[in-house]
Amino acid sequence: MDKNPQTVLEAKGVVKRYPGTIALKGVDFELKRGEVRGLLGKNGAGKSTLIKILAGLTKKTEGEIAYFGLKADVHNVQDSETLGFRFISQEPSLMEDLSIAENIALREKELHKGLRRVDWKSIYEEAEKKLGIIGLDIDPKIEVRYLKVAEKQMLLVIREIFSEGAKIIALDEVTTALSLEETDKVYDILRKNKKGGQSFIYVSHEIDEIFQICDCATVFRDGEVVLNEKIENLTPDDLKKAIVGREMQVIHRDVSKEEPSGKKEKQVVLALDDVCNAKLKDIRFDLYRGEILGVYGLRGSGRTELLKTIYGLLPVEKGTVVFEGEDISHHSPSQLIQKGIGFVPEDRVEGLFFGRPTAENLLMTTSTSTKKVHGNAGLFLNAHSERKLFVEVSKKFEIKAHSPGAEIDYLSGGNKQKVMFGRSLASESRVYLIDEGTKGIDIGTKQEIYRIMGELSTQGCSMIFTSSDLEEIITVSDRIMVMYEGNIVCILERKDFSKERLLHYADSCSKTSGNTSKRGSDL
Amino acid sequence: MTSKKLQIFFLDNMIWFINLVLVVLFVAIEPGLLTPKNLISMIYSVSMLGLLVLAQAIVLISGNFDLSVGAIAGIAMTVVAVVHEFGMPGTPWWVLLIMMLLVGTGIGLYNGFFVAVLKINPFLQTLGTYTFFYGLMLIIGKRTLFKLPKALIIPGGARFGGSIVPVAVVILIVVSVIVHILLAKTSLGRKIYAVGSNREAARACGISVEKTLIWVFVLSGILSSIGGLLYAGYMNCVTMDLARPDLFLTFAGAIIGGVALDGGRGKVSGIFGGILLLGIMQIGLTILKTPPTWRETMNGIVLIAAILLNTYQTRLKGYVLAKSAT
Repeated sequence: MDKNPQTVLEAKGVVKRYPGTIALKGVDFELKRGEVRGLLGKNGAGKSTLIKILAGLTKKTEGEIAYFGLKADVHNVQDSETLGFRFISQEPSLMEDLSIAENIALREKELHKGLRRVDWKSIYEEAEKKLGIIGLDIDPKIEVRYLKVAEKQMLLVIREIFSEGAKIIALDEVTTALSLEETDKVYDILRKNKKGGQSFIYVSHEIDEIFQICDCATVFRDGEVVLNEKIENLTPDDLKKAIVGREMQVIHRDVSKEEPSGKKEKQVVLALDDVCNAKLKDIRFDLYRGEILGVYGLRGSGRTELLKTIYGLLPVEKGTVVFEGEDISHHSPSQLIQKGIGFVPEDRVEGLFFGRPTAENLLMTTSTSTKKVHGNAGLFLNAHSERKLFVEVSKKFEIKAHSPGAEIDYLSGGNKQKVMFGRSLASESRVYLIDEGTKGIDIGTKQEIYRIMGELSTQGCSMIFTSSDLEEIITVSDRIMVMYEGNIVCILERKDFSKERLLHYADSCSKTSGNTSKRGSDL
Repeated sequence: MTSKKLQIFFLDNMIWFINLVLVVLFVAIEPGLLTPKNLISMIYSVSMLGLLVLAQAIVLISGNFDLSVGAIAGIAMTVVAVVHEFGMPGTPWWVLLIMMLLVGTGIGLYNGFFVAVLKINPFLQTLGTYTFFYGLMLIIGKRTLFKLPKALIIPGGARFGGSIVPVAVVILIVVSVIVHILLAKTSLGRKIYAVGSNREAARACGISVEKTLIWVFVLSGILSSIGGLLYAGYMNCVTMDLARPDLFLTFAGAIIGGVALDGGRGKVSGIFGGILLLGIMQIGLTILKTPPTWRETMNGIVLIAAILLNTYQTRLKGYVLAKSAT
């Protein structure tokens, strides 16, 4: 092993096996003092597995890890923290009911030394000092639950980076919920602190970001490191190629064939007019038959709420939602399912019935809401038609289940996602509201889902599809609607699609002034 | 392939194998145990408790608690006995029976409304119901009530015309079958599992969580009042602490039978097995002349073992399925 004192972290031949799959196939990784290392790769490529191993959240199957030149066995989070490792996740895990100051103080060793009087004064002072670093003017006595998502994320960032003894900090897509201004603040902190000797592992899906802040980039693909290079020697295309590998040819939907440049009469299926509620402001747009409308925006932009509002899970306080000529503004989800509107929730944890059979999960809407369909007469379920429908849908989606009766828990992530998707198909939806339909599934399954979306669209089904993945949303959508803080910023036609535009519109800058976004001008 | 299916079958129905082992064990120690009468009394002794276990199980599957199952059983029978003895002595038995069911339905509705609509924590809500109605029983009943119409003693106390088959056992079996159909074959049942497994997902599937939960508590109330009828018949009276000591056994029976404490899991075949295990232990220990001081401890050991096995059942099943996949 390299005994270079500059090396703060070294992993050699790290292998992680899960039952059935290998997440890491012998990975070497090295991090130097004062370095910001970009970590790239698709979901499931292995980057988060490596970080989890480093953080002690999961155990490696094989390989060696050395912190500061010394071989270390990290069994749990405490071990890695003692060594100076910190992990900032993209889902801020804070104690919602405790104050900002308490949340910050919890990380300090002082508080863990048995029973001693809590020095509240110094806790509040400390918190104010740290909030000052990011220019956040909030009373540290306020409970964290009242903060915005972005503020929580910033809080987590300063708490971890400035915590006692933090030497290596891993940041996992922390800027996805942040505005450009806030992102710049994070960059400033990183630049300043790396001079002070801290090292950073920076996970991101945004290639531009890597070029802005990182010194080196490491690309993961299928559990292996495929690229490891100084940033000066790289171009964005190098990174893209390394990330995607040979699978570059994503199935593009052949849009040109379906619509001869808008000559054909477009049929409006769903129309929102001035829809308002707590999370949405004056939402107005039409959805056409057979269209896939992408919705892009930062977290907290209201895209999930938009889908939930159409679906009747959130109230329409003002304005109207019209589906095939009928006002459905105040219909319940159950009524909407019967009319042919289907919802695919963002989170599998939020959308699946764990402990229940696969078939039951797949047919939940069919069995409880659509009485007239498939011979489910009233109270009693029709086992025969359910079996038939299960076979039909699972064949179409190529759902790999052990058996219809096997609990959903034992299915793979991609198959679980397909089950949620298939649910709307089973209830014969004509409009699909899909919230992050491909989050956390492998590229192969993603392509299958794109294929199914394409098929449904040719059959005349319409889809509203949210995604944080720029590439995906550009590939899949016919039009893209960009949202910011509950407003529609713009709706882009296919010919106007570009990553720069989307990023630019999704960001607060576009609201306050017309200047080009910083990220956009960099390219 | 077949061995995998066999393993899964074994894991899914583990409680019945546990019961079998227990019976074999008791018979091995005391061969005299193996008579039809003893075997039947294993179910008979827990048939009234069985109804409360079923009531509890439905509520647990929906992701809730019902501490008031025994109180509902008690107050329903107290109302019946008081009306019969003091109120309107001439009231026909079937009117009293309807009254009993209405009391159960009413309290269930009340629990359901408070839990589902007013969002009161089910534990606290039913704790309140439990305390209030055991208190109310004392006010209106005052003491053990012995006078009950003959017809209302039959379900809990009688045996079928000269045979050794108690009516209560048949009632338990019939009610179990009905509950099984309700949970497994109707859309309401599916909604109950859905709400218990994942409330948010249930909402996203268009299920009205509120309506479903009100149904759950109403069903629990009805089953509990029928349970009360069996208790009263079995003891030939209505005591003021009717079913009160059995509250924890209602949880034990359901959970041993594979019902998840956090909802979403459990089926009647398992729950019935859980009820039976309670009966096997009760009769087995009696016939083996286990000293009363030891019985509670023995019960505890079996409970802990059964619950452990059930908890690891999920993990074992995952292991079996994963093993066969690769």
